[in-house]
Amino acid sequence: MPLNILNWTLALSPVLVLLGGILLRGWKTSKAGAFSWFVAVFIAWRFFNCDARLLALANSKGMSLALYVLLIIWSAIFLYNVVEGAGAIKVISGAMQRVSEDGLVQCLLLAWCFSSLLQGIAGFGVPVAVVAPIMVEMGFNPAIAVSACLVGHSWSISFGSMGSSYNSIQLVTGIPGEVIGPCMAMVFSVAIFSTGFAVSHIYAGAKGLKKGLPLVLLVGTVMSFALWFMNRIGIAQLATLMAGAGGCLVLGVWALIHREGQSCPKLGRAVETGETEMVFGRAASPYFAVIFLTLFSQLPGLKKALAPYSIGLDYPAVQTGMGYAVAAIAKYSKIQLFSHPAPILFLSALFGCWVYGRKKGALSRGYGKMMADSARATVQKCVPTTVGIVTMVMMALVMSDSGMTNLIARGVAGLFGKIYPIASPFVGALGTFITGSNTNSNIMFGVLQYDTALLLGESGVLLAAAQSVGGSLGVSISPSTIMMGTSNVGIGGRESEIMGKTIRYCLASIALVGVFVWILAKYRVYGQ
Amino acid sequence: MELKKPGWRKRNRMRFLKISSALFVLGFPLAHYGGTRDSGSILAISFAIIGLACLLPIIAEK
Repeated sequence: MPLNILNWTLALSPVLVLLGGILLRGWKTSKAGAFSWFVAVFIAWRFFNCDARLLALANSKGMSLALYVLLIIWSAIFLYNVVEGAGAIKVISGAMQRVSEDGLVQCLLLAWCFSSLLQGIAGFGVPVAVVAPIMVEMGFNPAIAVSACLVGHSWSISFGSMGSSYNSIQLVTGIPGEVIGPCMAMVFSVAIFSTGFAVSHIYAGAKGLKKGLPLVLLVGTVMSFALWFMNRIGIAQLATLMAGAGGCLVLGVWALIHREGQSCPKLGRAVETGETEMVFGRAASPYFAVIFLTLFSQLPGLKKALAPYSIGLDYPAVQTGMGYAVAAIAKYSKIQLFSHPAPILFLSALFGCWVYGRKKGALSRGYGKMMADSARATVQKCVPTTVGIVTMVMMALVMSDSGMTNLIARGVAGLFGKIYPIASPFVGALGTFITGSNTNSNIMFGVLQYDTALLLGESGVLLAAAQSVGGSLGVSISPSTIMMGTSNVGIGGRESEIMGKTIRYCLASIALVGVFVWILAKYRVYGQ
Repeated sequence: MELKKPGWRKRNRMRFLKISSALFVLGFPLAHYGGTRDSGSILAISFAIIGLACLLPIIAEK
């Protein structure tokens, strides 16, 4: 397909429809995704000479990809609902509150570290919805609480929710996790420090920056190392969880050392959860199960023995009428039955039901009800997300297999040239701003970024990583996440004020990441 | 004062989205089977099902 302004605009039009639908018409993601799928299919058929077979296979590939991601999302939300339903989130949060009396330490602990730890488990706005109300209860200004949570946890999205966004960027670009994971962790280090400084600045301006400097440097280093290390040893789905937990631990120890004339807090203190008292260890037990099962599934001997148990569909090679070829692929979007995050999350949720449902050694009657309530809440929350993800992934695959994404990439490469690595994370953030999800952004723009990098002779791995990091940081300006925060602290209607606060920090962080990526690209730190 | 009843769209939104999800589940194997076997009739059925699944959120969502 020749590259000219008309063809380029045609290729871009499904994305423009998606963007216009969400931003100008205020459509939900599922409606905008469905509409843009119709547009993508029509353009692919009418202008890119794609036949019904190619389009059907692209749709099927899209649903294969969506299934992989949705299994993680459904089981992560189910686990969260079990924990939340039992009142255990209250207990875990209560333990965080008792660590320090210093406002800045509390702000960093909750908005930067604890919200990221929660992101490692659940995601989808849950950290903001849970942590911001706790901060308000502790005496923080609601606008500061929401803004700090939005910006503070935005570094943790890609590896959060058991790695759903990380998996999506791998799936669409075909880059193995052991290659892109450490690269993403490296780029994320800039985001970790910048969001830490941003939270300090949100809390107390320049004074907060000065006071928080040693703390952010110390905790940021620990979290950056933990994120990189978890990727290095191949347990990326726990990277955010462990980095967040490491940050909480270091900040907690710091707070204990610097306590002035106060007694040592008891983290294990039992908390009233409505029906019964619960201690921290019991409250957090499903998450300990997640960590244990994930580590267990990574044991080299076991991993090797279980590796053959996977499912995935084979797809034949196809070609458009314009000559754009798509290679055959075996076991596309392969799901490893025993190391995929979904069964681990689901087993941990069942374990949680068992632990929370036990009363003095016997199972309480609430066991079955707890599971049923959690399942119902999961369906309510996940059905709209499912439709949104499926339609958008199908649209992205239709665009990719018809050659539209390749054409857009060629246009973008021509426009930006060698400075494209600076713009790359902004594209990721734009995707998240439009769709409200790092996962969706990666699906929509992942291939585009990868193709653009190859056309420019840059590292596809690096720019795919930049896409995901930019997408992660973009969560702090995503209207749906902002609304989740404002509605939970009773300042509904003040979304534009919150966005006005977060956008400065978000753009500054993305610009720093962009410059860092450009430096890495310039010195060829990562190969193609 | 009588409270205004929510519109049909709001009342049926979740039902429409659940049907849409079910149609995607049905259309997925058909699209793969039709594409790999190059069967015109299965391809047509898969497009009809997926098209309907995509139409439902457009109708149901604001």
